[in-house]
Amino acid sequence: MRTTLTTPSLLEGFEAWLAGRPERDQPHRREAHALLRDGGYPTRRHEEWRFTALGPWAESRSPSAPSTVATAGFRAFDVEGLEAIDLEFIDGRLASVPEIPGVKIVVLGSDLGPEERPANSSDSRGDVPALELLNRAWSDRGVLVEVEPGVKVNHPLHFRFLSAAGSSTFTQPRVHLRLGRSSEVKVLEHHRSAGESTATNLHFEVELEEGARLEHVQLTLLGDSAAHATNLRAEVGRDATYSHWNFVLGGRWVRDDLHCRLAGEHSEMRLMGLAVAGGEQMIDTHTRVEHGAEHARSIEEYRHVVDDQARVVFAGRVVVEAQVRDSDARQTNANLLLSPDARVNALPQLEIYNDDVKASHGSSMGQLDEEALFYLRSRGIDEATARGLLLWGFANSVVEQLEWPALAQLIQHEVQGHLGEILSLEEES
Amino acid sequence: MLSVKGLKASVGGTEILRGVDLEIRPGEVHAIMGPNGSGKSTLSQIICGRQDYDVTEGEVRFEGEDLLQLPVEERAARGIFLGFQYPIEIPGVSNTYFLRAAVNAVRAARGEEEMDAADFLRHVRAKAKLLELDLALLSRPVNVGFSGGEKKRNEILQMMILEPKLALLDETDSGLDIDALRVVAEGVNALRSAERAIVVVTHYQRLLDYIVPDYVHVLSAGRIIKTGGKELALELEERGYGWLLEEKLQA
Amino acid sequence: MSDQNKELQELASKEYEHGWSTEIEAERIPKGLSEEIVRIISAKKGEPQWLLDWRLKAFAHFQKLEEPRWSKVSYPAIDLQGLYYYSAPKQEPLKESLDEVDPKLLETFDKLGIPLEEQKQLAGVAVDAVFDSVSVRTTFREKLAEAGVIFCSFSDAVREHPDLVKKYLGSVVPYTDNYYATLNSAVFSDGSFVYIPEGTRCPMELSTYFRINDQKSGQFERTLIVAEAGAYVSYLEGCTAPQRDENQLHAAVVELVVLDDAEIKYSTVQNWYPGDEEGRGGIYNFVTKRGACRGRNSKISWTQVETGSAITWKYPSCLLQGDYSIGEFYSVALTRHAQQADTGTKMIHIGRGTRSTIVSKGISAGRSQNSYRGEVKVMKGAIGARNHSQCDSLLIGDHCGAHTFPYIESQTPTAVLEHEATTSKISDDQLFYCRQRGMSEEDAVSMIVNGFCKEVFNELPMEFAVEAGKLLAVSLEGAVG
Repeated sequence: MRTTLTTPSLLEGFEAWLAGRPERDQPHRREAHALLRDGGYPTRRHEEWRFTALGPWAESRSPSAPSTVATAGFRAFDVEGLEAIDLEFIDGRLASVPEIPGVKIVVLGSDLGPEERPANSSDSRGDVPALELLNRAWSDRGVLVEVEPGVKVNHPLHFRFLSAAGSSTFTQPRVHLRLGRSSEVKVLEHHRSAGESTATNLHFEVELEEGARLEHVQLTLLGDSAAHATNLRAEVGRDATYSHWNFVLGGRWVRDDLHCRLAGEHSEMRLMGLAVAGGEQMIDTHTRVEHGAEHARSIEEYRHVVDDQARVVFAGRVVVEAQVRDSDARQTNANLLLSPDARVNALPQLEIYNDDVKASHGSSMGQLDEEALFYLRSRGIDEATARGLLLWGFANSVVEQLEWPALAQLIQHEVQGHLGEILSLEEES
Repeated sequence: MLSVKGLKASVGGTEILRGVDLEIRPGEVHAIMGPNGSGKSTLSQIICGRQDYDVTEGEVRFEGEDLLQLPVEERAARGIFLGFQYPIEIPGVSNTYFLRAAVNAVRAARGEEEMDAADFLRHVRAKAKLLELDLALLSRPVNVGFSGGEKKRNEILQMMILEPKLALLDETDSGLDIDALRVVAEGVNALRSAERAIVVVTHYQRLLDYIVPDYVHVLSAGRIIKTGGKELALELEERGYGWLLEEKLQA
Repeated sequence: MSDQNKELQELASKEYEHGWSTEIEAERIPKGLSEEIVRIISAKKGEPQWLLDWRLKAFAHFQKLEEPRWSKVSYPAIDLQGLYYYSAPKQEPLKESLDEVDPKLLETFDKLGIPLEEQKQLAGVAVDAVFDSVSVRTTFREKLAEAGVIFCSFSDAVREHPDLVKKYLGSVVPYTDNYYATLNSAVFSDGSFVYIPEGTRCPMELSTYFRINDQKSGQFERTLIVAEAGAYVSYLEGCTAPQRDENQLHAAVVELVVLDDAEIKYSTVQNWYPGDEEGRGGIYNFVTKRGACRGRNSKISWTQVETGSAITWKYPSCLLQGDYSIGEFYSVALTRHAQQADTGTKMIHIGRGTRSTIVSKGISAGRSQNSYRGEVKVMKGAIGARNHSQCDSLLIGDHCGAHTFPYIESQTPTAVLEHEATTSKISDDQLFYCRQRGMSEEDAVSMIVNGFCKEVFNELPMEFAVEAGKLLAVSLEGAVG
């Protein structure tokens, strides 16, 4: 279905680059590259890319050269009271390997690591997304993290992704996270940039075995010129619980594809999202929740505040497969538009193939509730403060559900900063 | 009229009724009491034909006929009525239309003619007034947006219109204030007759001040552990269920 | 549970009521699609040059198009060269006098419950009866003319009111609009034309009844309705076709134009032959319906009950151009057996204070697939625009699918848009409740589904609402499960 574009440089010089990689990884990288080269980058004619194009970000960029920056010196990543174990990625490459009891960590894409194959079987059928092909072809020094069965990791894992290489590179970090039976861990996926026009395409694969629990927070706090994509593939096993939080509070172009499958009976999933967008930001989020096993539950809630010329896209698809009984799938999406030039697209979608189901979605777009505003003002609160309160309430209703105090505090602080900017500008004008 | 013998039933492998015996004759009013989870609701649901339970042993006969073989609607046509603990909402279907469809279905099953629409409406309105039910509710969708009390009164209205031989009222008193309770009880009492039997399933004695039973059965852990007259209900009110269980254990 | 399902399944296989056909000699033109065929159709109709030119432009454009495949329906490629593009009962009657209409045609419409003798008709409904490619009679023309209302076949309109047709044809759905609309523009054979003059409330309901009879023929009709300032009309549309093993193509175009303070209420009960249990035969229904609310305070209300067709591909839309104009879409779509429906609406908010409402009820049974696809788009200037959408789906049995694909876009902070959707089966509790009160399962299902659709039926004119309820019950019979 893809239409060919001009040949970007990421498609060139591949063989030369490949020559320096472990030989056994070369076939699947070459295959991914060939698919990308032949198909080209998706354009707006491709349903999944109706609103943004990948090509312009990939063109005239190359995979990263090893960088010398150390994130350890990059204070922005520090979260007070987090007490986390750090895994540092600099321009897509894992910098060092920490030791964690009960957790196996292996570097991918190097001679030390295991042979790499396209792992997620659901992707091997049909059309492999371009983001994934890019990453398959070019990822270097990714990481496989395996939490052993029954292990409850006491400290959260803090994945620090620093993009510093600037406008010439498109970094391709890769993370495989496996949770063995009944294991538990918290993960912070933290994106920061230190440079102009950085671009990152993270491939994040998550597997939860029976009874495992994962709290996964994605925090995107990039500079105004950065481009970022996270391509998440999650599979949730029997009785397992997966919570994913997606806070997008920065970046020029942010594209998140979250493809999550409830693969085991009685599994549960929660996808929560908040984006506060301003300037010329483009935030394009696609979620796909698959009910592939009986008695599974999914809840999804995404909220967006959109100001200036920013544009937000939320495409949330829920699929209940045939033969899968007793499914409960709920999705809500709320959008606040604050400026005449802001733009929002919502595509909430239900695809249901079994009658034993309760599925619903709701989507709303608008501005702050005038009645609530009036109510607050009638209690003596001035309009600007009242607006601030309501905006804060709208955004914080997502954050406050995060049961991770140290992190929630940081996010609330960031959200307040963004909303403060919005409100102070409103006051001036 | 209704004869339940050695009835055992389970759901998802968990046994809920462990051998229930019950004889109900025309004209009688029975109260089935018991703590939460004792199987009270299950018993009435099985009598009416709910398929969510597996009947593993025993029999249920109604006027000599094996009830367990009949689908729900045929039991209704025989004259069995269940007043639901949580009446169901049916959006878009008016209350009157629903009632009329029910009455005509039951009449058709008995080989009787359909009721004249105008007569029917007069009849329904008269009964609704008796129950102090807002007449506007008759044209609203079945139970949609009704208050808890309105739903319960609507159940009694349906019973008065359908004129069953055996009425099972499942926790009809729950969620009712004292005035509503009185109105509902009056409605039930108006139906008491020598041909009709009424079974009141309840957790509290309160309702039995108004609907005075001939027999009181105590159901506990899937068995009827004691049967007595109306005074048993008062005793339960005073002493709770604990003493009965002990008595049972000692026996 | 299984008992219930079995009964539900049995409920869903009732025969199609209008599956018979009329033995009547048809006049056809050669099979296939070509410029020559377009010219022949135009010549048959005695059309003026400007209309032939328009058709030819459409045909030329059609050569460049590919069949769209974005909807959630699948079917083998349609052999456009295997179709007859014009089929009319031989000896096309002069419709002014009923005596000259072939008795077989009168009989056909009688049997469909659409008597063409005015005295036999429901007072207050005028009918244009379209049989294959031509309109066979339009009733009450004189009476309507007294009120200044024009209601006639499209061909008559081209002859008698060329200026009006020229002004509005293609003004809402241009011939370049989409594959099927372009095809229709090239080969359309007939249809209905309605014009309500300024300040006139049409004195009766207008109705077009479409009947496909001939084999291997496609039906391509066009409807154009213009409501001048302050005018009002309620227009109804019904359709049936014989039971045939082959698939037949129906690609219609409907254009509505509404000026200041005017209103068009457009209701459809679509009951084309849906194909048999195995999915053999049935109409492929690819229809483009769009209305332009050009005037201030103008209003278009689409109501549709879709139970027929093997494939339904149809999105009646509103362009809300006039300030404070209103668009409404009320839809019931029921699919069973192997039917596929991909239907919904587009509400494009352009003017200030424009409002739209969408209520869609989908019911899927058998092995059918039923999708709601709708777009709500608020453009920059649509200050204070409002939309509320409610899309509910019911599944009956576990071999069917129900899907919801809304596209919502806002470019205006003052717009308020709300969309809600639910998908579930008929609740076991509701079924048990009805049955405990003595109703059979079939009646209970029918009652619950009718209740589910109530909000939409309420929008239909009275006779149609009753008809729709019955149609639903019939379609559910044996369709359930």
